[in-house]
Amino acid sequence: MKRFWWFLIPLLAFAVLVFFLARGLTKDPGYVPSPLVGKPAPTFDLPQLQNPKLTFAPEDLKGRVWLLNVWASWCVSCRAEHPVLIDFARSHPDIPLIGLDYKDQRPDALNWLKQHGNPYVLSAFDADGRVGIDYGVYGVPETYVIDQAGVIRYKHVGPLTPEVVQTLIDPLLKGLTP
Amino acid sequence: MNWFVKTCAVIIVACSSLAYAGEAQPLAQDPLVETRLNAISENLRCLVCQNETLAASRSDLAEDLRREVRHLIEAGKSDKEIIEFLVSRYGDYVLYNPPFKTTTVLLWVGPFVLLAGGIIGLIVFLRRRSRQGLVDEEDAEPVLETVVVPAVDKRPTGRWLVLLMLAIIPLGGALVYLKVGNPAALDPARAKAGPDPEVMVARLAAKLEANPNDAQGWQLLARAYLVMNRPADAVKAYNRILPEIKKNPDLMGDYVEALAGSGDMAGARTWINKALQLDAKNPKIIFLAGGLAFEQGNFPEAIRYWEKALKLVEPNSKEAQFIQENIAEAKSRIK
Repeated sequence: MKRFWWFLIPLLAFAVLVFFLARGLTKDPGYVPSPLVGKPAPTFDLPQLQNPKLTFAPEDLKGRVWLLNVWASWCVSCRAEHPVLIDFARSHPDIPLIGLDYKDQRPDALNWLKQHGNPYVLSAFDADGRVGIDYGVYGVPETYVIDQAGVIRYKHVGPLTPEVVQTLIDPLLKGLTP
Repeated sequence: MNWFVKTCAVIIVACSSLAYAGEAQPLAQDPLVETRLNAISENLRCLVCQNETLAASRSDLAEDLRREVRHLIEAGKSDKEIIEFLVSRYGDYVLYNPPFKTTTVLLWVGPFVLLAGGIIGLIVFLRRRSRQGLVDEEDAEPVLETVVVPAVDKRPTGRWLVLLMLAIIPLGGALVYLKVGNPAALDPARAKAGPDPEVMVARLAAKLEANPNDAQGWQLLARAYLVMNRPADAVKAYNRILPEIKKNPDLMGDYVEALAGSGDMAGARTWINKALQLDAKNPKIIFLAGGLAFEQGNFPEAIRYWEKALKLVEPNSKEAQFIQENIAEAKSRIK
């Protein structure tokens, strides 16, 4: 009888292996955990998309909770995300939604906003993608939640969906704003 | 001593900016930066196409990141600082070799724990089997009996088998590692020393032999040879892209330098004349023409060329200073 238990060990080991492999299958291999969450948002000073004479720096919003959304007119998923952002801007008038127009052409980007509506308070224009690199952007769209102290609290890679806003971003914002 | 051999490295450094004075210097011109960039990005993951290295990927992001790494190299950052720069933005994920820390212990130690567990299990199993064969032969189950019996007959073999396995497994592992692994990486001193330019250049040469149509690659290799003071090898590399050279006076200048450096003065003179016909206002070519005249002992001619080149570069720049030094040298030879 004792011998019987010995044979269970490989079986158990196999079960553990299957568990981990199966779990691995449910994960998104494209997801890269960001080391920036919990760190101060990298600083920059970029010209604004609509008014190149004005600039935007994250420090301008110190003391406020805000969202930084990386987008581009050439980005197909951004189009899918767009209605969600429009909704978000409408239902969160107290949370500034800032765009980071990443590696884009100014006329294309302006045209895109005209065509689809502009959910952003303003968009910073990152023509060569250097600010994108500082933020660890590897796939547009990406969204960052930044708190009053200027610390990144959450990073979402890929298009925002109503579910993500409801289950992840809204509770976080509720916790951050008194 | 050959003027070209003596001033070769200086020419390269000075002339790459001479030739492109006024326009942004193409980044791919400095072969040492390129070889370091290659060595660094070889160990980094492209985040868009995750099974490719940053060096191999053609994605936009990879190109941006390579440009960033290039800037950091040119800013004089060490490999370690550059890797830290990327890790602080993209996480350990960009590394193909994950660092050893609490979250990666399982990854690094797991296989060894499994191996040790397997060996212990094997020992326990074999021991028990041989002991059982002696003591409780009668209550062994009939199915297992057949397995157990041979062990009883040749009990010592069981022990030898264990010892043999214990020897073979680590030995086999070590042999396989030496064959396919990278034992040099085990030595931290050597691993830290960074890429050896000789090795990088040899690797580039091998890659080009496999893909000889890569004109830019040959150009890079030839310049690397020039910097490493191997003009004869540089000539060989340039010979692979003669059609390209014929169209490009800057390349012709490099070719002339390689020819002169390797001692082929007649060839150098033929090509410098071609280059002067193609672009009479290129300071690097004029400067090299002066060098050839100097080499022939025709110092007044050399001075004439160099003074002409001096007018074409920015006054008070490093290049201007370098040309003036050469003019002074030529003048002292006349006296």
